[in-house]
Amino acid sequence: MEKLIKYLKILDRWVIGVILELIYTLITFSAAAILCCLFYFIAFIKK
Amino acid sequence: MIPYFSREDVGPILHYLGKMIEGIGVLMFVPFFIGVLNGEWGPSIDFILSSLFSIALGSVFLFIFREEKDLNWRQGMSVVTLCWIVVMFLGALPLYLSGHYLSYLDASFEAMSALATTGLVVVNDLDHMSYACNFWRHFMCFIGGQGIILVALTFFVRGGSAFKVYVGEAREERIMPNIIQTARFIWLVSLTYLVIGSAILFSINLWRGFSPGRALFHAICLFMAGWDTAGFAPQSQNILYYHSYLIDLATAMFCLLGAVNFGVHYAVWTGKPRELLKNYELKLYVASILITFFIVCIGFKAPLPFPNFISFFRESFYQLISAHTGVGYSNIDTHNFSYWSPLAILGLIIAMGLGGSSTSTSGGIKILRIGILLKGIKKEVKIFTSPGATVVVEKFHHIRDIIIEDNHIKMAAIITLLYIALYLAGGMIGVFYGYPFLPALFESVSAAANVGLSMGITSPFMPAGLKLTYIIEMWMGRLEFFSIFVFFSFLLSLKSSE
Repeated sequence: MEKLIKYLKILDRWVIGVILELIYTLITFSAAAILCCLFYFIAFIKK
Repeated sequence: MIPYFSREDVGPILHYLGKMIEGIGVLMFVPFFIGVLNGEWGPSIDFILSSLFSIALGSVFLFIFREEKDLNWRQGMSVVTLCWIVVMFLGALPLYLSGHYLSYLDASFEAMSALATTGLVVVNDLDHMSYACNFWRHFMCFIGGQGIILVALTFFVRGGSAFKVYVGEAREERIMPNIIQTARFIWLVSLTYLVIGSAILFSINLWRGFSPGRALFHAICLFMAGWDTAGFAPQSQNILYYHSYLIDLATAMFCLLGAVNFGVHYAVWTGKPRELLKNYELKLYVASILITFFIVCIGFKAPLPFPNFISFFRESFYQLISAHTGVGYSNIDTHNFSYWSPLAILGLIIAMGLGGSSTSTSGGIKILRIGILLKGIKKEVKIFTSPGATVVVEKFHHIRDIIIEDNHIKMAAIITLLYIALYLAGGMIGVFYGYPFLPALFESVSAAANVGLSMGITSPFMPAGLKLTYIIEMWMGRLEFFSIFVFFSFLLSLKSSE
């Protein structure tokens, strides 16, 4: 039982780790999208 | 001083090489079974013949050079250098037998491109390639991206030799105290993401109307080539074939994760999520993506050749992410680069040249080295502007706090200069063969930084000399020079001792 709890704790950390990494990539993409959006509407649409 | 080698070094080198050759032969059973399952008897025979040949060759080496000794540094580096060349030739064997390549050189080019996780292709009629052979192309990406040596470390190499061959394959960091445990952890991360990534891509493909078998095949192939930053795809149109926002998003996410240092994965997975925010290399990587993306954006001039913001973002950012992570996936046709301005192309070249994180599956100079050089500049400026007796200390956080030493700066500068020299040399050879400078430089950087984006130079019909140049660039870029230099010093010292 103790071993099972230990493994579940490790698994729990992995799952959280994977979710955090996926969120991190999405934040990076969002930052790029905002940059691109600003650029697009300021530099191109004005012209 | 050139390290001294003797003929006694040959035995241990060829003994370990024999093990690697046997290993690649065993791995060829995977596409063989895929061929059998799909009733592709011709390709299955190609694979079983190639596999038996490799195992027989490896066994001959092991029979002649029986004695197993721990390798020293020079021997370890030489094993790695030779191993990549020999595995390229053996991996090319089933490709050549498939009849999709004009020559053995083309098949070898494709094999090196896969193993070095580059993604440049010279295949003919990819859309009609057998499942077995197509899988082998992607499987080689996975093996090469993880590291041929890392595969071997997991199964064949033990004892004191392990770390020497691990470092020879351009990986310096021990994520865990034991190098075998490090190899296993890298496998664990990759296999976990293989399951997650393939499941996501499989669901998208299924939802878009693929049959279950085909959806699974495409999902696994795309993930293996994306995670290991290779950029092969099962269809000739690459990612453009799917015409799907979701596939674009999913592949881009896994490309980005594949280019993250395995040490960061380890920290985050073992209860230190703050590493994502504190890691110097990762922060610099995101900053570099945004800066190079800005260069690409300002490269476009109004009126834009895009109907709306979404298609502008989708085209420009996907190519940028693909370039910076070293993946080489493309959701546009090669000819579309004709309306990219020279500045936008230059932005992609810079992104490709910089590459991803150290100890990841990505190629190029690597962001950590750029970071160390920046810190080095800051340190020198501080020394100049401080009173004489002041001790200047610069440090950064990368898994742990690291104080910058002159040795770090020296190594980062040497490798950066070697990469720049390799990029320029390949570009000049392209110009020598009659291609304009910018596309020639683009293709050279793409090969040497193991990216795989192409402006159209790479094809089955390009000159053989250029194919050879790109093979050498892919090889040198993947191994980060030093093991190759050590190997050549070995050859020279053998010759001079005769």
